[in-house]
Amino acid sequence: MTPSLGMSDRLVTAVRTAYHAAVSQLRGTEAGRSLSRLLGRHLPMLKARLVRRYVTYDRSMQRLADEDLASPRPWKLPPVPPGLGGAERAVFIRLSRRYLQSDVRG
Amino acid sequence: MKLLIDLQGAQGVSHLRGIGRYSRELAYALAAGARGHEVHLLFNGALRDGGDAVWDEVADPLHPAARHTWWGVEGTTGEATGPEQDVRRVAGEVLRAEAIEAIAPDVLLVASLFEGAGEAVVPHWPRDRPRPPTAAICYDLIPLLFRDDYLDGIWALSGRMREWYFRCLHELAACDLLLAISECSRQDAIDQLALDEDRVVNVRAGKSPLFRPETLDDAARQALRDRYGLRDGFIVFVGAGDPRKNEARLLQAYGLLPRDLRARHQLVVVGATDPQEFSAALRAAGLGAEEARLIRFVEEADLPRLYAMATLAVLPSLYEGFGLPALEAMACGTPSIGSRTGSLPEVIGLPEALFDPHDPADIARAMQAALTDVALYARLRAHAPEQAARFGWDRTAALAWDALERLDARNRNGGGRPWRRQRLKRLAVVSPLSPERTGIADYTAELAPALARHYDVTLVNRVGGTDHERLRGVFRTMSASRFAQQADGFDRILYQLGNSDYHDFQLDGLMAGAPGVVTLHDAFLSGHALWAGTRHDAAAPGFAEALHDSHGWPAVVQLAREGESAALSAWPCSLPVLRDTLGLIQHSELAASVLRQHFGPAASGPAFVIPHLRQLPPPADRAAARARLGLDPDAKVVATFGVIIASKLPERLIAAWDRLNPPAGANARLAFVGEMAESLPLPMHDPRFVFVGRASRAIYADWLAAADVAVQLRAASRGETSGAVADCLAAGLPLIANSHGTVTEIPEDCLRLLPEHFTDAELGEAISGLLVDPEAARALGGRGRQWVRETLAPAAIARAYRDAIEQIYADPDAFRRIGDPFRGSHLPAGGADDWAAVSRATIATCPTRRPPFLFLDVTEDWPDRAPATALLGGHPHDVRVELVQLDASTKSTPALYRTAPVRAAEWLDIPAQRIAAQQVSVRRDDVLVLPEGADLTARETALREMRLRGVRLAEMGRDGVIRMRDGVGMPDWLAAWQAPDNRPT
Repeated sequence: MTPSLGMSDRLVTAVRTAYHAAVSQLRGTEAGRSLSRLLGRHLPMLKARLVRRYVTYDRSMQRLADEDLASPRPWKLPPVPPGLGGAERAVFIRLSRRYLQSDVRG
Repeated sequence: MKLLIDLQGAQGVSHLRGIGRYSRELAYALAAGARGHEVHLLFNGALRDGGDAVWDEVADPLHPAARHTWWGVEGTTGEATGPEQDVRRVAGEVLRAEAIEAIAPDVLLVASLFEGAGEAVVPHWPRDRPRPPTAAICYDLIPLLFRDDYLDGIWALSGRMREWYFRCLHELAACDLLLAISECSRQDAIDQLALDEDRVVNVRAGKSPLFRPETLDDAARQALRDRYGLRDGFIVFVGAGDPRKNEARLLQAYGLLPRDLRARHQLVVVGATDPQEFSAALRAAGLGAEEARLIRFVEEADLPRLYAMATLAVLPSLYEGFGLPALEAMACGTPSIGSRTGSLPEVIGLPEALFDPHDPADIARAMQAALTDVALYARLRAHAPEQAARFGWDRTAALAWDALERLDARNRNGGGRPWRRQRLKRLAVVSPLSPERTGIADYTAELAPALARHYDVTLVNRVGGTDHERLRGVFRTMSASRFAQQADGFDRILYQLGNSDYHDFQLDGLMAGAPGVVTLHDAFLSGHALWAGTRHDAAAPGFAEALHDSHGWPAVVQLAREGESAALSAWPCSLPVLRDTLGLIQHSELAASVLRQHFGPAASGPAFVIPHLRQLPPPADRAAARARLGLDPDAKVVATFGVIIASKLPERLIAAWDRLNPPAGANARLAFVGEMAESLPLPMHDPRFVFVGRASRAIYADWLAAADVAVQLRAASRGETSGAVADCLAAGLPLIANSHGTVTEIPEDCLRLLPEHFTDAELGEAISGLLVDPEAARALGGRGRQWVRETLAPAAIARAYRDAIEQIYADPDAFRRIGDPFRGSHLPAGGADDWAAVSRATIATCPTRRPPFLFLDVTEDWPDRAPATALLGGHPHDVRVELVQLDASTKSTPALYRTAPVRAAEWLDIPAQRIAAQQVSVRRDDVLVLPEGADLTARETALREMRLRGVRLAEMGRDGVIRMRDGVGMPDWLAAWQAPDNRPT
């Protein structure tokens, strides 16, 4: 569920479809009842959240994002080598951002 | 005092409008009555005649050296019509500021800030310079007050026009002093811009000496009749051509007059109305073409005569900032009537001369009374010159000088803030922004304009844009990706951080990569950690890893045994923010104490407490709000605001509603204004209750205005500040709350505070008490609003922010403490391996905040795990325990320890977690514990390395007692933990 612009409708549809498919497949079983109870409790909230996050919000954000087309190369979190602790990881990110991504070199 | 008046407002297109006239008249009057002060005038040499005509008109009392000129850049376009980033306009702003700095006035008075939409007038101050003490004339806020006609009407077709207007509003609100042209205009500025009352002064307006009682001979009358096609008797209305002037209703009202009255009194409309529209309006009002006459232009010299000839002057405007035509007509001795709205009551000054401009019948009634009631007509005629005499430019100038002198004195007494040759520091405010629907976006929208007084503010969000009308066009916006590359160009960085997925872009490396000051709106970031952990990208750690990173194994054990919900509400997961942040700002002492409680003093560091802010909303119309919401005007309405979740105790409120004594009445309503975010067994279909759901800003504001009492309950708070509570207090809504969380930090006389664990009866009594005693409720609401005004005003909060930010950045150790000794250094470009090695050395040399660690060496099996397992799974919040083992795989020298998460899960008897093994990062006074009798020879090198880094060695036997080795003592933190009373059981 990586937040990305423009995938909102598909995401909501996918959740709804998955829910109905799962419940109908398991209908009559204890697992089905559990799933139904679980999702019945959480789906409205989940759906509301998804709609809010990915439909209403994304459409207006997409429009705004278009305004920033002049943005230079997108910055992405550099892949952090495995085994670095939290503190070292933060320093690594900082150094990578500053000295790999910026124009300050040498 | 050296006063400099920027008269561009009289040079541009406004020179023919009331603004141009007002500017010239006031400048002249200030110069003529200067009280020994110096008056200088500033013109834009690139506009029209360079200001010659205006100078000629006002120069009489001035020395030629008082005229100053700067040159706007040739080809500058309108802010709303030219290119969005017009370099010529921006450069012009700098040149104007340079010119003003060279003149070095004590006070700058800008005659009109609302200029430059479609022309080269440049009245605004550059974003990056401190302003001189600045005053401006405040004419009106009509586009804001009549949004449907302007901002959301015709201007909505061009977003640029709206942006220009809000930039002007921002400039107006940034002034130290506003000279309002009427009390109505003053009050509007205070209400709409949330300004302190003493910053806005009513200086009124004067009238030109051209307008005076004049007796016209027959020849002069005939000449006017011939020139403008007038009949003998007529009613005059000057100023048509704008829907706000209400011309259509005037024509309807005129049509309601008896035919014979109309026959004796032609209606003369003066203004720039389109003739075809005028004809259509005449037909719509059932009037013949000869009954009303449109005059599109009247020579200035003819206007007083036109008034003098008129039987009656009428000004039916829906709103006026001042209403000069009414004053001018009265100055000519003409009986005048006008609207009961806007500034006209104070200009006309006679209640019986007023009418409701929205009601054509009432306009007709007033006109008919004035024309047929002989006594009334005589009173109007006598009143007109008397009232007009109360307004004069000398009087206006005196009021203006009084206010300007106070501003100058205040500035001198305060030492005069430096503004010449200064630059504001560049501040990046990194936050979600509208349309992202989070309270933090709203918070930033209120904070940023106030911060702009102290910093050159750039707003950073995920995409680099916002639709917020008060931000868009006013502030530079930048996307997170662009910011990541340009962050080092900012002098200061401020993050607004909360516990939701809207903050992904900050927490996914941006805050670590470009550290700054963080406002932590919620001490808990576990909600975000859980959400981020469900994502499929590798960048975000899983929830278990986030719990482990911040809290160690007790949190992971709870996750494994009790599930996500339990871990979510028990563990804040905010250690990375504490570790990688220059300084923290929190909204309450309670929130700060939550962090101290979870991380201890070693990790949490000092936090600045700055209360949540709230801008006072303008006074609301309760009756209109109730009408819009379909509520009975007399019904008792109780409301609770904000998202509906179990911890806000909605069921308790419903239970109390049934126990109101006396009952609130059959038409009473209990409203829940907010989205249902959890499935709760609430009586959704009971007609006594209104579940509004997620409300738009307008509907939310209507409920605040419509309610009699607000109830905000809370349990299980984690120190977060309730925006809804601030909303209720700011709206002057009497508030009932239970004594839980940050609400206890509000003065007790500003709200009705129940015990934390109240009974339904207590809540019911509190509600009833306020419903049956509206006076007490009003007084309570008033005290709450006053508290918000004094304590939570954005200007005061912004000053606190400036002080906190500067104090944090002034700390010479601030960057070293977050492991950033390289700030400002130019390192050569490197690769990932280089940076990993540098990172390890950096943290060894510049240790960051974290709790002390007890490492349990599990390189070989422990004879009895039980005592050590108790430590691993049951350490206190301010200590961490970790299993480590010698890293046989690494070729590093010296040999290193690595964490052993798989072994830890095994020891704790929980399923293996998604937690990666890491190289151990140690620091002074950490303790490494070996099992009693362990063979040290195999790890001699590693232990020497540990000792070198200040780690103390110890061993533990089957009795579970930690015994220090090497003759060193137990560090204080361990001694305190191992004191008999504190041992885990």
